[in-house]
Amino acid sequence: MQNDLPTLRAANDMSQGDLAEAVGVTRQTINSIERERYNPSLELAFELAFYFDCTIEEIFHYDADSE
Amino acid sequence: MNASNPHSEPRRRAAWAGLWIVGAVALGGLTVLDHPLVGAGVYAVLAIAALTMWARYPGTLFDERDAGIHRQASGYTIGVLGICSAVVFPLLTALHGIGLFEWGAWSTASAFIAAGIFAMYGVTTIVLSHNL
Repeated sequence: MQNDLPTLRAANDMSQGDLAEAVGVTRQTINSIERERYNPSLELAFELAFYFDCTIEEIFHYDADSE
Repeated sequence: MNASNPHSEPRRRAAWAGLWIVGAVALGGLTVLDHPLVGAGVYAVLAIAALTMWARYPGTLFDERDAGIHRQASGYTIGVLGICSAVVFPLLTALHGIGLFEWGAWSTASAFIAAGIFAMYGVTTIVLSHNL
């Protein structure tokens, strides 16, 4: 699933490790999400949205054709 | 901001897997070499070391992605066992019936273990389906 995590991280001057620690997952998971190889659980998507103070739709972009 | 060193995470994960693998190999190898107590002792020490390392890691060592990977791996594994239970072993039984296959100690044990695990999977599925 396409997402804006790299942009949001860059805007907040955060590394993947920083974000991983902030939402309680491994750096590899953040890396996999950014590379669109792993779709996060609903709970993690909410955690990320809460952390960046935005909605899930502002981070993740669902495209039925590419899923 | 980052209390744990992000570069240590892959090393710790590799160490975790390595400790369990070395422990299992030691247990099996030393048992075969007729030192079962030493094997069990080595296994216990390495298992405690792995659990201690995991407990003391300041960050998150395993998360939902790992759980998903394990779910997928378990699915493939049970799929293979299911195929064995539903196709391979009944076929071997049929071949045994016409004298083309002879059940030995290992093949009989394998068949019962595979069937037992698949039966356990079936019961677990039924129980979980009532709870979800």
